[in-house]
This record gives sequence, C-alpha cells and structure tokens, in this order.
Amino acid sequence: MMEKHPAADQRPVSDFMPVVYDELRRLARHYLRRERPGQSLQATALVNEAYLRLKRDQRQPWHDRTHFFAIAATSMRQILVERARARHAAKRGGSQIRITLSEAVAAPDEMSIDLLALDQALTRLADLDPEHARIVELRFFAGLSIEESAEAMAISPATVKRGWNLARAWLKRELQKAGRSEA
Amino acid sequence: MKRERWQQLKSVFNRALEMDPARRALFLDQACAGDDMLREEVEALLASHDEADGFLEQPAFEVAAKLIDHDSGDLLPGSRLGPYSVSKKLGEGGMGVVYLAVDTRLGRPVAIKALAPQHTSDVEHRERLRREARVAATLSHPSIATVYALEEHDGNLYIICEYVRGQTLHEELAAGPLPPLRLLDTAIEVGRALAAAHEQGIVHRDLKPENVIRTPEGALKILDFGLARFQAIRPGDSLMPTRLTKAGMFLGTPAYASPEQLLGLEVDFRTDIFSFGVMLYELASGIHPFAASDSVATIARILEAEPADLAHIGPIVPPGLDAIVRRCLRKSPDQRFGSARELVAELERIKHEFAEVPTARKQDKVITASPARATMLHPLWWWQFHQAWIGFMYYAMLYPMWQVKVWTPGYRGPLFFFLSLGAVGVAANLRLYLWFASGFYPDELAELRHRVAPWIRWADVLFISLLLIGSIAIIGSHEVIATLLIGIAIASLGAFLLIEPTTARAAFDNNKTGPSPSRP
Repeated sequence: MMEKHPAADQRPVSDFMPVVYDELRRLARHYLRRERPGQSLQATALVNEAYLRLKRDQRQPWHDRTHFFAIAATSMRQILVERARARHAAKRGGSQIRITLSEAVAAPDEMSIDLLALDQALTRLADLDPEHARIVELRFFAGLSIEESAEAMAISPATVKRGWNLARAWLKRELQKAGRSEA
Repeated sequence: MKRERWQQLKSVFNRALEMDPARRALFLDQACAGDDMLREEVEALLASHDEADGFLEQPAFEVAAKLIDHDSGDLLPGSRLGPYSVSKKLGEGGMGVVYLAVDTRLGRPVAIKALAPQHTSDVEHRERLRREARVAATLSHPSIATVYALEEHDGNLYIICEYVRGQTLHEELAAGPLPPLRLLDTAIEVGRALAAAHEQGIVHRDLKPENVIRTPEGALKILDFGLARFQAIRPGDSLMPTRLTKAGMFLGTPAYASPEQLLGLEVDFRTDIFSFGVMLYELASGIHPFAASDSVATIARILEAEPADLAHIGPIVPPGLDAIVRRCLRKSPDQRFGSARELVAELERIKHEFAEVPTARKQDKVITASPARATMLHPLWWWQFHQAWIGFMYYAMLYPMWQVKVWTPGYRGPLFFFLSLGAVGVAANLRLYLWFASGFYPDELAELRHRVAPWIRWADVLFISLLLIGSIAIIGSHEVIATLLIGIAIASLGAFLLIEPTTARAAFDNNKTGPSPSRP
C-alpha cells in the first residue's frame, strides 16, 4: 500500500516514521493524561508540538514543516490501519472490523468508519489523483485545517476546499459501495 | 476509473457544486451532453456530498491518539477481555501490568499479565512468545503457577495465569533468614518443582525470591515459569527486544542470573540451579551471596567472586547446606548438580540428618556447621568480649591512678589524674560504643571502627605512658604499687599490640571476599 503512495521525498516515509510515531505517541499520552472530561484532543496542537520538538533534533530527516506533516499524516494512517488489522485478526471469524469513532471519542451520533475500507479507497484515490488523497491524509489523519493543508501543500485554500469536497464525497460513496457488497 | 475520466468528473463536480442547486440540473445537461455515465456519477457524488456532512470531519488523529494510548494494554476494572472480567490492577511486574480478573466461564480468579507494548509490534517476536507460552502452558505441577492462555486483544498480548495469593519469598526475607527446617522444606519443595519442569524440558530462566509465593495454606508456587522472555525491556532500549532475545540474552534481574546468562551464552536447566543456589544462600543467611553497591558490581561478582562461607555469616545453617549451595553456585555449569533431582536428593539427605539430631543438641550442631570450627566460638563474640572487658578494665584502673595522685605532691598529682581520666574516658567509652554498635548497628560497624580507631590508639598510648610516668613518680615511696603499675602497663601494651588486633582480624577479616550486609 505504501509503495503506491506518493511520498513528498525520495526516501521512503517508513524510514523515519518510527521517530514521528514515537513522538506522536508520547505526546498523545501526555495530552490524554491531563485532558479534562468533555475536552477533545487537539490534533493540530499535538502535531505542531511533535514537529517543534523533533525540529530541535539536528538529525531530523525531513526538510520542512510540509514534509513533516506529510510524514505525520502517513504515520497516523498507518497506525490506525494497523490497529484495525490487529483488531480484525484478534476477532478472527467475527465480522466486526470497524473502529467505531464514538467508541473512543464521546460524540453522540458519530458514524463508524470502516478504516480498512477507507484505507483501500484512499489508495485507489491516490492512483486517480494524488493531490486529493494527500488532502484527505492531511485533513483527516493529521487533523490539519483547510488553511494549514493549503500551506503544507503549497496550493490555495480554495483548491484544498474543492479537493476536500470531491474527495470526501467520492470516498463516502466508495465506502457505501463497499458496505453494500459486504452485506 | 481512468485518470482522464477523473479529471472530467472533477471539473464538472466542482463547477456544479459552486452553483445554486436549482441550476445544477440544467448545467449537468450541458456539461455531460450525451455522457449518461458521467452524469450519473456526478449526481451520485453530489448526493453523497450533501449527506457527507461530518464525514471525516473529526480528525482520525484524535481517535488514533486514544487508540495508541491503549497500546499499553491498560485494562480498567470492570472491563472485559474475552471471557475474563477485570477486577482490579494488582501491580506492575517485570512483564508489565498485572491484573486480577475472573474467568466468567469457570468463575475462578485469574491473573492477567498485560505484556509490555514492545512485544506487540514485532511479528516474529510475537510468534516466539506465542510458542513459549504454549510450552509454558503444558507445565502442570502443584508448586508451579499454571499458565492458562495467551490472549490477544486489540493487538495487545495478555498472559492468563493462575492467580496465587500469598507472600513472596522476597517479602519473607525482609523478616530475616528462614529457620533451618523451614529453609530446607522450602528448598526441597522449590527444587522438586524445578526438577519436574526440567524433566519436561522447561527452564525458568528468572528464578528469584520475588517469583516464589507462599500461599496462606503454606504451599509454595513458582511464578512465571518459562516466561522469562516476556520480561519488559526498559524504555530507551527500543531496538533491543528482538536482538536480545534472539541472542538468547538475559533481560531479567541480574542479581539472580547465572554467569552464562550474563555472558549471553547458551543456557539450559543449570542456569536455574545457579539461581536456586543464590536464592538458597540468601534464604539461609539473609545476605545475597554477590551483593555489591550496584548492579554492574553485582554482575562482576557473579562472574568472578566466590561467596563467603555460609557457616561464617549465617546465624543458623544446617550442616552440609554450605556444600550444596557452593555446588549450585559453581561458575561452570558442568560443575553444578547434574539435575535438580540430584539437588533435591542432597537436600533431603541433610534434612534427614538434621531432623535426627536431638533438639537439645541442635543448637550446637547448627552453630558448628563446619567441622574445622567445631570447638570455636564465633570470632565476633571474642572481639566483643575483648572490647567490653578492656572498657571495664580501664575504669577499674582509675582507682590506682587516684592513689598515685594522692601520693604525688603539688600540681603534678591532679594533672596526672586528669590526663588519666581523659585517656580512660576516650579509650574505654569508644570501645564500649563499638561493643554496643556491633550488637545493634552491625551494618555500620566497619565504618565506625575505621573512624574511632585513631582515637583509641592515641588514648591507649597516652594511658600506657601515664602508667609508666606514675609508677616512676611513686617508685621511691610505694614500691609494690609502682611495680604493679609497670606490670599493668606492659600487659596493656601486649593487649593492644597483640590480643586486640587478633580478635579484630578473626571477627572481621576472615573473609576478604565476604559480602557486605546490604542487598543489591
């Protein structure tokens, strides 16, 4: 899956993903521990802090913020997909492979997303249009806003907004198709 | 879908979306003229867009953060893990967090050990753990806590084992060494369990007092048999798990590890025999045979030093035990017992001999553990006796000194007496202080001796000089007393130069490699 994914750099993202992953994980734990009930985790704040911390390290493998966000987004995508797979494997024979968002985040009518199906759809989208796939990664997996994504990708916010609309509609439809074929 | 098709779709979709929904139909008629497929596609996407409100809006990162936080496998009381209902957290062990839970199918309590997260990431490592857990689960012995299952839940690994209540031997050791019969019974029971496991080809690899529990009913249970590889690796060693365990290296507590384990060599059941020896030594004496200031020094001692004779340091040691422990603690595995079975047979033999000795004689027999020392009292006792005796003798000497003062005219009399009083005060009090400390603060004795030694030495010199000066001063008038004082001066000189150093050497220097009383 990762080979097909366009990386912002020639070096494979997986090379420095562990560094980013460890930092994100550490920070997430730190945040969660002092989190107050009802207050949700600020993804952007987390990614930003991870970036600032890792930037101090002279051996940092990425060139700039943009590149870092690309890695962070891909890291998060991989983390989530791996977890979903692990769950799937743990419940061998069971049909439940969804990670219900509401399970982890207290929001009343949160929809559940089949992460594995989303991941596959996103890979197909990257084939058709790498830019759109990247927008989804940044927005959904790294938690960047439209403006931040635009900055990270060096394109206009309007382009991001349009891309986001289309990609989201397309992905939703793909997931519905997948859901139907499954049922 | 082809890329060109996607471009088409994208352009139509984007324009349609920017439009007033009422005009969309008209626009699509024009834009997709003749291409029904495209129109259908765009319409579906537009519909999808309209209902996609909220879809993917909440960043997955927030969910991911929660999920990765659960990587540690934390279980909350009341939560379920398969058929197990978690009751409470028991504590954190070498492997990770340990929980008490109830197996709802059988209604029995179980202990759940959540393995440290690093075990869950490496597929190969996981597979190895799975194999080991399977092997460990085949062990069935009354003195071994049974491994019921290895469960995977949300990508985390959990070992489900028999829940054992009671006190570990480590906790028991806090109250001091075990009495001889209890010691032998404990050793035999643990040894039998070791033998049974070894005969099935399973090695513990991390045997230590913390891993042996005595239940309230008095039975012993060895924990974590065959699970040494499940030990958590300390943070910062993130690259180590696979490398270390592949090399067969050691992850547990170094204090009970065998030399071959510490050197990263191939280990077999004889590593358990060594660890057993360390444990036995400690249970018998209350002192770790290789205790040192830090773990690196402990490792060095395990690899090189011979432990001090048990009979020298242990308060009460059954005869023959020292030889058994020594054989367990041989650096070379080949020189240890050939099997745990053989070791148990030896323990049973000395227990039998020990039990045959009439109770009244037991104490003698016990103290005179090694034949060479049969007629000797404990050397520390001599030293203590000497210190106390000298202390009292000094005070007794104040009387003749007073007499000398009375017979000496002018200021010299009182000066002489006050100097004597000072010498006696320092020399006697410091000796009595050491005597007292040897009984109550044995740990600090060495340092105290070192600190007060020069004071005692100079007070002794001053006192002997005063004795000689005093006797010369009165030799004209009181010959007999003067001669007596000279005699005492010479005797004291002998005592300070010969007897005292001898008792001290016997009490303190008889084991140069002897352990410090502190635990590692």
